[in-house]
Amino acid sequence: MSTPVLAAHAVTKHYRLGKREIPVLRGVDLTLQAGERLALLGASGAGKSTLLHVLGLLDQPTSGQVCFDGRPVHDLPIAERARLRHAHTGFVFQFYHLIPELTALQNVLLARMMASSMTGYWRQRGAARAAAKALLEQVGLGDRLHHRPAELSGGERQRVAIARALLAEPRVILADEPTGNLDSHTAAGVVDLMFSIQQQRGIALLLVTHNEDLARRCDRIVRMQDGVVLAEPTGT
Amino acid sequence: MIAAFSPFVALRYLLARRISLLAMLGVTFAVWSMILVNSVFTGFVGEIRADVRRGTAELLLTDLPLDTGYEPLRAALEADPAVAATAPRLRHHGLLQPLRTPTGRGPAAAAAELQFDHTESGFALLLGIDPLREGEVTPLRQWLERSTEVFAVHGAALEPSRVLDEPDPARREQLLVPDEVEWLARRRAGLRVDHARTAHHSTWPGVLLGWRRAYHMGWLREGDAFDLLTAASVPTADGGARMTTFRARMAFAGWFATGYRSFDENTVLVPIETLRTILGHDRADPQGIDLVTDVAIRLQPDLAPRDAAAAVRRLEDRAQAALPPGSPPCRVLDWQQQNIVFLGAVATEQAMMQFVLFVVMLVAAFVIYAVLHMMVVQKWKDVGILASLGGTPRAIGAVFVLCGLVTGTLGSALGTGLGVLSAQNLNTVNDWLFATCGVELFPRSLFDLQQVPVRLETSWLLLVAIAAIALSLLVALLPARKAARMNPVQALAHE
Amino acid sequence: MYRLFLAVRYLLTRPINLLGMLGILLSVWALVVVVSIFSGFLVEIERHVRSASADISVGDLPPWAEWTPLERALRDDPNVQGLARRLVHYGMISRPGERPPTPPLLGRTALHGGDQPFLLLLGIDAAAERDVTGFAEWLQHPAIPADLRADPQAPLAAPDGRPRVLVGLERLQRDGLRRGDVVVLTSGRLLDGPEGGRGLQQITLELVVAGAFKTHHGGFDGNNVFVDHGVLRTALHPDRPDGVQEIAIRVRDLDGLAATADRLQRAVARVLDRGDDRAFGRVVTWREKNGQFLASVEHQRGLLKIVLVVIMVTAAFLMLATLSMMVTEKTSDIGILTAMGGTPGGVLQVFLACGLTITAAGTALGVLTGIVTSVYLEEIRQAVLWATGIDLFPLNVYNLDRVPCSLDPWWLLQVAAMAFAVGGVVSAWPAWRAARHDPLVSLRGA
Repeated sequence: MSTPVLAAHAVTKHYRLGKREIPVLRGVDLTLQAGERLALLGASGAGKSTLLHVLGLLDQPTSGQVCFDGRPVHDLPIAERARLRHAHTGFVFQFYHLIPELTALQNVLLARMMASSMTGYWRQRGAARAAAKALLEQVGLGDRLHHRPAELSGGERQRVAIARALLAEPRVILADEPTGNLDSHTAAGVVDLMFSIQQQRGIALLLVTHNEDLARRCDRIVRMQDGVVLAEPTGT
Repeated sequence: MIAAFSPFVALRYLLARRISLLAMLGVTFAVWSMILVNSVFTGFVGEIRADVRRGTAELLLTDLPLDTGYEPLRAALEADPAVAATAPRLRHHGLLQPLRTPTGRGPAAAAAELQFDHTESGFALLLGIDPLREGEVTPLRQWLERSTEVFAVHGAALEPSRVLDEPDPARREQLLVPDEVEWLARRRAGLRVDHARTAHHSTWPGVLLGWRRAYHMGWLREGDAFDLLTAASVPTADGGARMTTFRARMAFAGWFATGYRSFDENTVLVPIETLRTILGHDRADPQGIDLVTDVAIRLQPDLAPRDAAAAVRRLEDRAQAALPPGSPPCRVLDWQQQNIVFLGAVATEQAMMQFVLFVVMLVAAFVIYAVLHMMVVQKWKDVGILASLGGTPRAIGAVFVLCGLVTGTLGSALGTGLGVLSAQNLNTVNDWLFATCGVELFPRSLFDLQQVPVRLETSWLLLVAIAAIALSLLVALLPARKAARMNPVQALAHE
Repeated sequence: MYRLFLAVRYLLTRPINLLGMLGILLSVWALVVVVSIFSGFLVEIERHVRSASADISVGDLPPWAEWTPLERALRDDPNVQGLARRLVHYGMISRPGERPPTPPLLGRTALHGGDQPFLLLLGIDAAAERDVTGFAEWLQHPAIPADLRADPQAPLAAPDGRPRVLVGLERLQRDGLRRGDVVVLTSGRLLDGPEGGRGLQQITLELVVAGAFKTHHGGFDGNNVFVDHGVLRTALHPDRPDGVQEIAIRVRDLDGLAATADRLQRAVARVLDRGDDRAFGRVVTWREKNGQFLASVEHQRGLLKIVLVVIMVTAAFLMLATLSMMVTEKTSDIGILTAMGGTPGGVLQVFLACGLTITAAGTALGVLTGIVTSVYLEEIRQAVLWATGIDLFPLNVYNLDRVPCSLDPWWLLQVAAMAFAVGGVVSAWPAWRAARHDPLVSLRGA
């Protein structure tokens, strides 16, 4: 088996709540192969989102390792982690998390601005705009480029978020219940879109959900309960 | 390196909020008021300093021992190539008692009341000058002419004194008023007049009074008689000294106005020879010396400041060498050192004012802080989004620092522009307001001047503008740091 | 009820509002402190001029004026509590056989004099003076060291027949004089005579230093010495045993000062009336004596007032910013409030209450800190001087021995009212905006 693009080894995570230590992850091992579509299932409070944040380097594990391409990355300096996050991972959140002051196009473009300097961005701004427009057209929002998030429906907002996650051409997409806030019809459209792009580009997708139907459409299902992974791997 | 998204997001945040306009206006207002108020104050201080300068000799040799003669010092000082002219000065103190009618205001001190300045009481700091030489070192003629302008402001028409136009140097030296004028004055005072009007010759030496004495002495007529009362120590036969009182009758010769308030209030100009006679150094007396307490000096024009400073030290040495051995050190003071207490007080006042003005700026910086702080709180989630997209803490912090910087810079630029514009047109606006609404923004009476003095100093403009920007930057750092340190996971969960 | 409850909750949960309060606090503080210094300065000066010249003084008396009839006439007035006669003359004081130094250069000395060799001789009746001015306190000023203190009961008593003199503390110390030293007082009087009269008769008195006095005003201390009235009168006016030159009067009730002065003026004119249509004697209140001196303080006050208003306006900006941000942030709350049945008026009141509470707290704290700062100003000045070497208030310029301060309740009230008005105006706008807010927009969210 090739080196997994993203892997967690014996990851634990504790939160302090006042004087108490609350364990959220209690030793999680998880691998994500390149191009793989993995569903992470579990009840609320099982630690799915926390694991997602740890894998996405937004959060640091209390103990254990997070490896990217086999290289441990969890204890890199904060700026270095930010750079990796930008270059290799795209996030899609349940609540879209778009910046309300920016138009759809600007929200997507933001992903290109994160790592480049002002002059660097200025030189490639044409290309960046073209890429962002192409992506928005691909997600079906070619006619809504200049709308603010407040003027978009929930499904449209999530499409913008997907486009944003894709613009930096990541190798992994971490999606945290991307359809949790959408009606079933819209949700189906968003999921189809996400899966087709994922397949088309060969990106690894980690999908956190508690929708069994959705999970079954993935390559592999991992179940979590009380901070541990129950069954891994099962394969299909 | 600043990541490209920082200025981009910062700009969108600012444009999307009317409140950031308010922060900018706060800075604008603070900068504007600092520039305007300070330029008026600087103008006022500049006016005061110009007045002091006009009333002061360029350099003054002082702290001379008692019984110092002028001639050796003059020779020593004028030998220096940097010196253009010198003039003798003799300081003493006395009491000026007007003599108008025989039944006047009673005995010498009867009119005296307890006062805190010398003007009303008749106290005078007598400054003995040589009218033939004084004009070489100070604008004496200008002082006399200026009194006419000053009285004109107060609505009185007065001709400037004519004593300097007296053709006979021997009479000019005594500041004598024309013969006929004195003859009339004697008649007015009820004194016996021996000669016919045309045969009279003036004998009363003249006194020149600072125009501020007019408040208390009333409108004097040229030639009005004064008694100058003073006391001085006179050597006794046994080698000691004894205080002796003197009286000299003098004639009012005219007003002078330097503009330097305390000089115009306290000083009385008298011919130096009159004072020398009182102090026991009559010119006719072979033992007498041409007594001085100070020597006023004018340097050559177009002397570089460094050369002038060197000349001061050189002149000190020259003068010291001309004094008897063992004399305490004499000093040569420039015009600012001569007025160190007053100028120091003025400078302190200005510093206090500027301090208060910086409080204004501080409050304006608070506005920026409040707005940015609020922005960070509102943008809690955005911080998490930017972090999830790969923004480094520094770059996220930079978003808010840039917000503060842009607000501060724009506000500062706008305020500076407005400040300069309004300072330049202040008098127009002031006059217009007065003409149309009868309101005076800056009351003229406050300044005793025709116009509100305004002086814009580039250094102050720069200081205020840069301080405003720096302060905005500083207060932006706190919220920015908060944003940069935020845990992105919590930020995302923030509702 | 919910309005007040919400207003308080909003304020307590948002520390940023403290900033708005801080702005108000700062401006109120500055207004209180700066103005208290200035009015303190005025009050201080007035106090000294006043205590030196009594509530009312009578001057400009003719040479033939007599004390006995004048005293009788003045005491008749119901508002006169006490009076003392004074003699004012000029002179110089030097040590026997020593030559006085050259007078100091004008620009290098304190602005209001005090170190010139010429000074004013005040001939006083020590017992009467005590009742009329603050004379007794001047002799017991805490700054006077024990070995320079005069006998407080009879400071000018001369048991050995040698007249005494009281000299201002600074002058005494500068000249190195001690109690019991002999000084020579040189003065003169003009005599009627030939050539229009006014021959000068020299008067020389040997005086023994009885001790020091100190008022709060260095200019007064430096320019005056006290001598016994009888001694000075005998020397200056031997021919006028009942002569009088100036009368200091203390009144019972200060409110009727001007009226009393008018009454006394008429009384003096009656006594001095010789039927020749000429008016002698001028009765002035202490207030009339210091007009010119106070005018010089006025222009600084004018400029500072402008600056203070500027601070107030900036503080208003600050409050406007914090309050409108609060409204922006609380839009969803506004929606909920309206949904629960809150009227626009109620919403308006919530935010208005917020603003007014901030203003009230800021004003109260500002007034409080302002008062505390004013009271401890001298200590603060010395602490700053000690720590940084910067003299915030150069006392020597004004001849004061401590930073003056006077808190005028009327002014405090005015400042508070002004701050409150400003606070009300700037709270009104955001509150009005909140009231007009469409609840649907906020409930839908962004």
